[in-house]
Amino acid sequence: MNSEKRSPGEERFDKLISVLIASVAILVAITAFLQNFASNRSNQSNRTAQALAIESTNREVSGALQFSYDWQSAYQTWYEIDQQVISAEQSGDTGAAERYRALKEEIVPLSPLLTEPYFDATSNRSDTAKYISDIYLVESTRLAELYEAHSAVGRAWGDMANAFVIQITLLTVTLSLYGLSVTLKGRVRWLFVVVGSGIVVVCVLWMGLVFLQSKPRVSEAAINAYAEGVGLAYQKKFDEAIAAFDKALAAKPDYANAIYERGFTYLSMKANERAISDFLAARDAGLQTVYMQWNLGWAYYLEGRFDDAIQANNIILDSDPTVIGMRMNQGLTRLAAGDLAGARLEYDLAIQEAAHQVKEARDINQEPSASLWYYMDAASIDLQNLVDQLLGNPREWTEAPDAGFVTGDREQITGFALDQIILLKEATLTLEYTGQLPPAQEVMAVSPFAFGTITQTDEQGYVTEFDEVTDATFPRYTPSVDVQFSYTGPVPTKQIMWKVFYDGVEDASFRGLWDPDLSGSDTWYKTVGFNYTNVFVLSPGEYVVELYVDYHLVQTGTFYVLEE
Amino acid sequence: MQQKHDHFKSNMAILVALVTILGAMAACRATVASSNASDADFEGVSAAIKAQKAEIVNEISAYEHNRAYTSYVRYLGLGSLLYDEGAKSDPASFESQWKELWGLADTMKIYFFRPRYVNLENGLYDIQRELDEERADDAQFNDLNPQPHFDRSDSLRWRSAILTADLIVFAIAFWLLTLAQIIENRLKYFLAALGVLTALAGTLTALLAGVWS
Repeated sequence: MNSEKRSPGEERFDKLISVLIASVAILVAITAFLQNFASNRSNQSNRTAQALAIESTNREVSGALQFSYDWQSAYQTWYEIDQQVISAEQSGDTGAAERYRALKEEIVPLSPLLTEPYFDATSNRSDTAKYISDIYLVESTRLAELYEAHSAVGRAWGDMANAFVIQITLLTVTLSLYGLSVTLKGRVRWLFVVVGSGIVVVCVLWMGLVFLQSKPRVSEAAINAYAEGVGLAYQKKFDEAIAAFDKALAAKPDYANAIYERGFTYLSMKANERAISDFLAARDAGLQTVYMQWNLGWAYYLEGRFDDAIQANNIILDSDPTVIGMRMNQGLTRLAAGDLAGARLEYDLAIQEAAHQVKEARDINQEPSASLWYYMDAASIDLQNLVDQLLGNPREWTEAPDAGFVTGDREQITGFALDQIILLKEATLTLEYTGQLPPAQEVMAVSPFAFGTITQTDEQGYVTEFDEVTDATFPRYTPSVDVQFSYTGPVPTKQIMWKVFYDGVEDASFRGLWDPDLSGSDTWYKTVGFNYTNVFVLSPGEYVVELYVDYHLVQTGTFYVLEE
Repeated sequence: MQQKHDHFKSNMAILVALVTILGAMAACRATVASSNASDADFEGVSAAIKAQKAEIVNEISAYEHNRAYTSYVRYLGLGSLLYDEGAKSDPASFESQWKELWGLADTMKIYFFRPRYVNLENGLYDIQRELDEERADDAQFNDLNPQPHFDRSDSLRWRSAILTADLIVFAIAFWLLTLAQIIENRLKYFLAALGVLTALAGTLTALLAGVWS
C-alpha cells in the first residue's frame, strides 16, 4: 500500500489548517470558560433566590402566627374583658366593673398590640394594619422581591450560558470542517475552510453581542423602598406610599411591580387617570398579570373610558372565559356604555358559568371557590353603586363613573340594573344553598317594610303595639330596630332568609334562617340588632334589610342610625 | 538531518497529544467540580427547608403555649381579684368562684404551657427563649444550617472556573506546539520551549486548583 506523496501546495494548506485548528481550539477554550462563568453565576443566583423564597414564606407564616396570637388571644381576651366591664357598668355592678378593669390591665403587657404605638386609647382599638406591616408584611415583601430579582438575574446568566453552549457546538462543527478539508482536493476544500471560518466569525460576533446585552440587576435600595411602600399602602397611608414607590422608581425606573403598586395606590385615592397611566407603564415594563389587566379595566370604567375598559377586560376573557368577576365587570361596563343587550349577554354568561362551577364542584363533593360568592355579591353592589350614581345619590362608599360619563338612556339603564340586582341576589342565594339556579314559582307578596319599635306584647309573646318611625331614622345608641311587614299569597314552603347590608356590604352576622309558621297571621315582625345584650348598639350608618322567601327576594327596606 | 527533523516532529506530535490529554483531564475535573457544587447547593437548600419547617412547627407550638398562658393570666388575675374582694367583706362570698378560677389557671399551667418559660421578673411568657431552645434541640439531630453547604458549593464553583480557565492555557500550549511542528526554521525550538512551559504552567495551575479549594 503506497501513500500518495503530497505536493508543496498541499503541504502549505495542511499547515494552514493546523494553525487554524489550534486557533479555534483557543476560542473554544475561551468560550468554555465564559460558559462556565455564566453558568456558575446563574446557579448561584438561583440558589440565592430559592433561599430567599423559603425565608420569605417563613417570615410570612411566622408573622401570621404571631399576629394570630396577638389578635385572637391577647387582644380577644382584653376585648372580652372590656365588654364585661361595659356589661357590669350597664347592670350597675360597680364592684365587678372595677375587677374587670383591673384584670384588663393585667392582660395589656402580654401583647404589643395592646400598647403604643399600636393601641389607640381614644377609639379603644388597635392599629392591626400597622402591626402586620411592622412584624412581617414589609419584610416578607422585601424578601419576595429579592427572590424575584435574583431569579431574573439567574435566568439572564442562564440564557447567556446556553448561548455559549451553542457557540461551542458551532465551533466544534468548524473544527470538523477544517479536519475534513485536509482530506479533500481542489476548490471544494476551500469551501470547507470558508464555511468553517464564517462560523467562527458568527460566533465571535455573537459572543460580543451576548456580552453587550444589559443584565438585570438587584437594586436593594429600590426593593427596600418598594416594600416600605407596600406596608404604607396597606395602612392606607397613600401619600407616603406614593412617595416610597417614587423612591423605588428613582433607584430603578423600570421596576414594574413598583409602577403597578403606585398605580393601585392612585386607584385607591380615586386618581384614576394616574392609575391608568401607571398600569400601562407597568405593562410596558413587562408586568403581564391578570390583576394588573383587571385593575386597568376597572380604572377605565371609573373614568368613563368604556371602549378601553371593554378592550382591557377582553384580554382576560379571551384567555380565560370562566373568570366570573371579570365577566360581571364586562356586563357592568357595557351597561354604563348604554349597550343593554351586550350587558344582558355578559350577565347571563356569568350566571351560567357560576351555576356550572358550583355544579362541577358539588358533583365531586367539593366546594366552589370562595371568591365566586365574593364576585357574585360584588356584582350586585357595583350595579347598586351605578344606580345610586345615576340617581344622584352617591354614598361614601360608591365606586362608579360620574353620571355624566354614562351613555344611553339613564332610565333604561337604571331599570335594567335594578332587575339584574334581583336576579344576581337570587342566583347567589340559591346557588349557595341548593347548588341550583332559582326555581320559577309563585311566592308571597310582601308589603313594604315599616321600621320602628315593638312597644307591647301579650302573654304569648305576640306583638300588640308597634311604634313605627316613618322616616326610618333612629338616634345613635339604638340597640335594635324592629321590622313590621304583612303578606298575601302562598306561605313559604322551603326557606325564609334575612340579610342585612351595612353601608353597602352584607353583615353576615345578621344573616339567618327564619322558621315561624306564617299561616297564623298576615302581619309579622323581625328584630334587627342587639336587644338581647346590654353590650352592643347599632353602629351609625345605612342598613338595608332584605327578605328572601323560597330563594326569591320579596322585599327590601332601608333604615338609618344617626351619628349624633 | 532529515532523520533529526522527523524526530523533532514526532516529539512535537507526542507533546501535542499530551497537552490535549491534559486539557481533557482539566475539563473533566471542572465538570466534576461543577456537578459537586450543584449537589452542595441542593443539600444547602434542603437544610434551609428543614430549618424553616422546624421553625414553623416550633412557632405553632410556642404560640399555642402563649395562648394558654394568656388564659392562665386571666383566670389567675380574676380569681385573685375575687379573693381580695371576698377578703375585704365576707371571705366565703366568692370562694367557690375564685377556687374555680384558680383551678382553671392551674389546668393551664399543668397541661397547656411550659411554666419554665414564664419570666418570673416581668410575668411574661418568654416565647423567644422557648423558640431558641427548641431550635438548638432540633439542630442536634438535623442538618439545619445551609451556609456550610453553600460555602462548599462556592469553593467548588471557584475550582471549576479555575480549571476551565486552565483550558485556555492548554489551548495556547497546543497552538504553540502546533506552530513549532510546522515551522522549518530555528524559531520552532523557541516555540516548542514556550509551548512546553505553558503546558507545565497549566498543569501546575490544575494541581493547585485542587489544593486551594
